[in-house]
Amino acid sequence: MKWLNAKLNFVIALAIISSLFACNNGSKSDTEDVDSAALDSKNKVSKVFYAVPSPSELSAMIKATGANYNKNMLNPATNEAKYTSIIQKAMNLGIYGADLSYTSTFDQTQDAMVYMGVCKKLADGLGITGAINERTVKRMEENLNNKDSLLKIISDTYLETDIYLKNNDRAGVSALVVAGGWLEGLYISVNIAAQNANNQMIVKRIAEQKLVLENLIGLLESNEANENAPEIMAEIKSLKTIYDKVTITEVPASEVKTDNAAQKTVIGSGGELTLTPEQLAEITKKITAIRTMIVS
Amino acid sequence: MKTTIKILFSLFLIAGTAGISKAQCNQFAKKTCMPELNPFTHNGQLNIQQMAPGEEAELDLTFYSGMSYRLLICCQDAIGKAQFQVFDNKNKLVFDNKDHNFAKFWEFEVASTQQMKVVVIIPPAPKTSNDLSKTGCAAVLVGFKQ
Repeated sequence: MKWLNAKLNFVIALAIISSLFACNNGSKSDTEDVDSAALDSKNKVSKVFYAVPSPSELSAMIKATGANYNKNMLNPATNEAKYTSIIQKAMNLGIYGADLSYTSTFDQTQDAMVYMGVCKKLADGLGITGAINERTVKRMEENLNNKDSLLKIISDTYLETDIYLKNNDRAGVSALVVAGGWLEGLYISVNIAAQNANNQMIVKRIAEQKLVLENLIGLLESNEANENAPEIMAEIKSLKTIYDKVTITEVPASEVKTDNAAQKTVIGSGGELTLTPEQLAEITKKITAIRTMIVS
Repeated sequence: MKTTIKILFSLFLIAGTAGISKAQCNQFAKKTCMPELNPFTHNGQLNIQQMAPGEEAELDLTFYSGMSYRLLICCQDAIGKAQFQVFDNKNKLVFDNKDHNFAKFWEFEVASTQQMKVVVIIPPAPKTSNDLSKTGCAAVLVGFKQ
């Protein structure tokens, strides 16, 4: 009888624990969540890690093309009040995060402060506490004249947001933030290309996003965006259909050359991407439509 | 009822420990690994997973022409020094840290933007080891500069 009581107690305890965990998003285990943030372990069937460049990397590349700063391309800070749903907040946090990186990369410190304030509001709205706080804003104010420090603060903030969301089983929200940031980077790029037809470097960067888009879709799909944000997913897949037409020239396997004196290793060409003016026009039209859908 | 509470407490402890691992790995990457990217700027991607001796993991990363990169593989002491290999988009091996005294990072540039595969290999535990449950966090971080 004593044994039966112990067994019953165990079953009750297990049932309570199980029900608690069933309420936790009703899906993935902790191990799977760690995976979703990270690497593709060989003993698992499918790939679970998808890498998408951060806004800071994209902004640095945009500036390197010789483009000038143009505030009119950015999402106005006043739009922030319009975003009420989690999807709107997450995607626009990504968009404003990219705008923040863009303003800082181009040394537009006053605009950067405005966009940091908007990001803080959206992060607060998503319950991301601590990633952007008064201390972050103060650090920014103290480093307005030091671009490197400013970019470091922004990079840290991006990372803190990502860590917070993943630690709290909200990798799906994190994926939407990443998507928003990447889409804004592409939107800014196509606008620069439209304003300066001679800027072949930006056209090249736009073409290269073909390599990233597949990873972005993988990241979103692995975080159930098909179910949670079907309209956005449909539009992004439609963008991929256009990118599928962008060709890569085949080249032999890469050569690796190391210059010991300069302590530099260069990996040879992996193939050149060719983006025709018609494809660029199609991409421009599509990304503008997607971006309008998100910021409106 | 007392027994139920005891069991509940134990199960919560077990569940709590499992939950901590993810946060611990993230903190490990942030506090221990990130400073090792200096003077490169972190690209904002946090790629980290718990791994055990003998396990392998892989991920695809896009590297842009015109940038210099530092690829850093950072593991907790519990799982030892990791081997990492980099393959180009033709699956040709372009770097193996085994040939460089298991260096933790590699710095390079790419002539044209390309996707590359990074494979991380955690060395198997010594046969004499009795501890089969040893796991630790392994992070792959990328820093860039122009």
